[in-house]
Amino acid sequence: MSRRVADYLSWVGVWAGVGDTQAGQQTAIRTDFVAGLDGTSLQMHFEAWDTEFKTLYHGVRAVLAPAPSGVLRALGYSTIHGPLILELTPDDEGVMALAGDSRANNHLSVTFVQDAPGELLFTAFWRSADKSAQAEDGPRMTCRLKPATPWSPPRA
Amino acid sequence: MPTRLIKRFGDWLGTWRGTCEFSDGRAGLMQFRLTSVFNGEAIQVDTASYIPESGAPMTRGSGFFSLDRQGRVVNNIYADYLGFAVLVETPDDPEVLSLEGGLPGNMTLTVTMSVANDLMTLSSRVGEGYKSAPGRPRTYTQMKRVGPIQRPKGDAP
Repeated sequence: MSRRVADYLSWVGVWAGVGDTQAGQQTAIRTDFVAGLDGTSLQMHFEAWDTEFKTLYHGVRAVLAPAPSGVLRALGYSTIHGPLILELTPDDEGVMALAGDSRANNHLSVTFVQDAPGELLFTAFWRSADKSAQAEDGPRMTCRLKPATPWSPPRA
Repeated sequence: MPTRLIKRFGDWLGTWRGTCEFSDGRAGLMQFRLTSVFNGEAIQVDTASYIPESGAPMTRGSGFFSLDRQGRVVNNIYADYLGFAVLVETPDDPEVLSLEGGLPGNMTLTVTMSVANDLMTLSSRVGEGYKSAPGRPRTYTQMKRVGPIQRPKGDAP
């Protein structure tokens, strides 16, 4: 089913959680969705850190926007993969499934699934071109993200 | 320690605005905002153009500058009226950034940018096919800086 940017605007805000990287490390993830380009796009800032916030494992900036044909794609920059243009693949409501190849010919897959109110399941993996598609059954980065709420001092 | 990208383009960071003449003859007000992301690994470029009299939006776009392994600028872009493309730097004078890449429908986009005397000049042209199209109309804008330089701490060239 084809999607529109408006289908994802309910995700606008900061989402955070602790999950695992594709290499198996524990990681703290923060994702910020913002409506952009006069509300015609969804911008995303993604950071995956070690749990002590000393090392940025992976950072991604992306913009989900409609081509003139109406097809949604994501333009992005990844600290691992460099410049990216990913295709939004057809999927169910509440799912953002992106896939494509980097300039270094790595295949990437990124998926956000709203499987419960106030919860996004994030999964991602990449494989080099010399690995078969069966490698996609291997480990992947996963994290359950919840809306981040600002801390406020306890009331007396 | 500034990245190679920021050493070269640190003075371009910030918001720029100026009049624009589009290739189809329309006039507009163009705005570019260049922001360092991930400590200077890339520069995000957000663009918008407006009808000067009403402020109504005309075009919108976004993109990222980064350097490939050869040190050339790679600019993956989105423009609502063009779609998505990956532009790669082509040889030009040192102070000029020239980019070229394919668009859907066997079209080619060429972009030339420079900053001199705090004035950003941008010229772009869409041509058909593999050959260059120097005779085709171009979009041309000259923009002045709006507000202070948004140079991240530690990224000064």
